[in-house]
Amino acid sequence: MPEPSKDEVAQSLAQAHYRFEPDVSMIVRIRGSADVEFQPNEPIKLLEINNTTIPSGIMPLQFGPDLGSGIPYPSVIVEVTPLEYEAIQAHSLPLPEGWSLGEEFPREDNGAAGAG
Amino acid sequence: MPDKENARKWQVAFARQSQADYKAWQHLEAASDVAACEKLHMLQMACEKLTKAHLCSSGSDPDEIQSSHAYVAKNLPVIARHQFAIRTGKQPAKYDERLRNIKLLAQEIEYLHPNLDADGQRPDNCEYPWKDSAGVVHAPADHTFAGLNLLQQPAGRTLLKVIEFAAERLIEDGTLTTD
Repeated sequence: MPEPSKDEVAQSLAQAHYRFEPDVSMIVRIRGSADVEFQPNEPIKLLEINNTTIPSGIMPLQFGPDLGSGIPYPSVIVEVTPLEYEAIQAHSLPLPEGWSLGEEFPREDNGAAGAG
Repeated sequence: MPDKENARKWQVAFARQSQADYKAWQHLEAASDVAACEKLHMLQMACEKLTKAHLCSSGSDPDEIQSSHAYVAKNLPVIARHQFAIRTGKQPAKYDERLRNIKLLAQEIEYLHPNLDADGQRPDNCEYPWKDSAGVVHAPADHTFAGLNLLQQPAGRTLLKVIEFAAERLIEDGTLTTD
């Protein structure tokens, strides 16, 4: 069976986090520079807007691949509050150099998708 | 009555060591060829030292907290509540569920220590093999520790932020009052 693509796993991981974390209101992909983003060891990077987390600025949390949960790629999660997300959009809270906001992963209501 | 100056020194030292353990956990966590038990061993040590730093800051006698490992389940949620109060300026009910999840994770982290097994109910730990109730011997290296998959568990990422911030805060507070 072919390994799922990084995009597929990013979608799956985002839906799993929506499912396990009801207070996550939005998940947005973070893209690195074009020359690194397509390398297999470049982590999937998700920005998660969480209504009940503590404000922390940009604090990327790195995780290794988790094959048991169907995540064959490393990942980085940046968890922020809604106010911090507004600041990121206004560029007053900058992402690390080379990172930019990508597509949003809308919450899937059926809960069928998801890592793990 | 513990010597306050001595307690502050231990507070800073425990928090510094917690930071070092946490940093080691970060490196191990990002690796694909390291067993979950080794990663979680570092996290358990980071949390144990963080809670000891917190206890020193709260008036405990440093000499009396050296040998026990049973501080994480009780005190890590207290540290989290404190961080929420500091960083949100208030603690409305909307954070209750998140703090409950952090409490569950703190209990799981405490069970990682081989000496703490809930009277034999939780022999799984991140250091030494154990025998389960069916007589099967397990190696930590082969165990998944699913309850501590912090990428997936509710509040897992928030707990990591709490650990990092709390250690910083305990160092700052201890250093400011000491110097």
